[in-house]
Amino acid sequence: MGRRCRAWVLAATLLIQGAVGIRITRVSVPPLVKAGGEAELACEWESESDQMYSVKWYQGSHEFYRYTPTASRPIQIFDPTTLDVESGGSWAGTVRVANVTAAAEGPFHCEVSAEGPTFHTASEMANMKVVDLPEGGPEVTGARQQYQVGDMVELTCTSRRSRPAASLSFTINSMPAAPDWL
Amino acid sequence: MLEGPLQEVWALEGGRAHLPCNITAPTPEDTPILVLFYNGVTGTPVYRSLGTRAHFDATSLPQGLVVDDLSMADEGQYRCRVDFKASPTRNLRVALTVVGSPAPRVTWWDEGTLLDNVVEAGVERGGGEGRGVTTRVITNTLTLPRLSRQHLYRVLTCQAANSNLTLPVAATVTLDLTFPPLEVKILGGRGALSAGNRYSLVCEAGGSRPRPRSPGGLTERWSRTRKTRFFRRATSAGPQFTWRHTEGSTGPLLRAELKMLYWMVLYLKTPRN
Repeated sequence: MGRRCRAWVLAATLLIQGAVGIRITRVSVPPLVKAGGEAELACEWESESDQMYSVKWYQGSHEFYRYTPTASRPIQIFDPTTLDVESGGSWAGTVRVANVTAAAEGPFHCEVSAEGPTFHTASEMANMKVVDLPEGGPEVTGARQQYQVGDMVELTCTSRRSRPAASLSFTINSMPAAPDWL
Repeated sequence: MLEGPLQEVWALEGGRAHLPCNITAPTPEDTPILVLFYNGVTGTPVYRSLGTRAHFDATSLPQGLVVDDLSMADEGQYRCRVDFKASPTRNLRVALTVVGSPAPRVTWWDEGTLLDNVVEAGVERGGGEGRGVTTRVITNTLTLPRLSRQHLYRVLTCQAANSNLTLPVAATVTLDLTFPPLEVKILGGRGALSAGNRYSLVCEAGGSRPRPRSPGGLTERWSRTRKTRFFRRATSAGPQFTWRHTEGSTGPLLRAELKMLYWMVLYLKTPRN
């Protein structure tokens, strides 16, 4: 059998394997989480022929949760520095996290592997943004008690300590301020 | 997981590649429990598709997957996944580049100086059925114009290389030159010669290669330049000449002529008597 023919047969075999092998059906990660807040990450899979060996959750490149049903202790938590894992609220592909810090922001991966001999592996990714809300509303400074007609008005609007930075806009009598006045 | 460190590996087509993967546990109490190599990030680990071509070497350093009999199809990104018993999974990415067999660069060198890197001819000959082996003949012709004495024993090297993963192959040629003498002298005839006397003259040549071997290597030809009557007698020290004075003869008397056309003349001065 020629080399090219063998390659096609191998590819076809892998494709067929992929169709019945383990695959991820749902990955759920809240797109926006408050800093210090909590969230639930869920991962579901299915497989016709393969037995599931492990489900892993990664924050970025760091594995922080592993579920191995055949192990003596199925749940393993590897203490990440960017968030806390609530073992009580976690089982199988679902993990509850709390005290999420800004450093946890970014891609989260769920990786599912089948048992040997194939160890076929599937992976899905979802992004989580961590936001820090400002402590209060925005502040306007620079306003004088009284103005004369013809005077120049200069106002500064400030919103402190938020992540990401707040986008600010001025309205005058509920109408948006003209751009050349900003 | 996808942002792990990326190691680049180059290997030759048909050769062996080492895809590094450190499986030593981060703490001494811990141990690896599963090592998988993927082509790409996910899918089915490559152990089955590589079959007997690959084996994991955990004893040498660096530890990793050893793949033999590489083909261009093996090129790509691999991920090594190491599950530990009590530590987070380690993921290492490897980018494998398989260097094919491109046509070689053929160059001429004089010691460390590049003389000629222009290839005049390249011919491809197809190889066996399905094996994808092509024989290429690449020719670089070096032309050295105006050879001089400085070129004697010059070592010229032809070098061929088709990747910087293998040492170049080289062949050398040493130039051997012959050249004519730089000077010819007639010895034994300095100053004025007197008619009636016997003189022993020797023709000496210097700077030729090979050395003149007499008799036979260098032909001596003694010829008269003027109409004189003289007798030539061969002796072991060279020809001996006796001649009779002729009326008003001055100027070149003899010419020693060497086969390679260098000559010097011997002048006769008549004594005033």
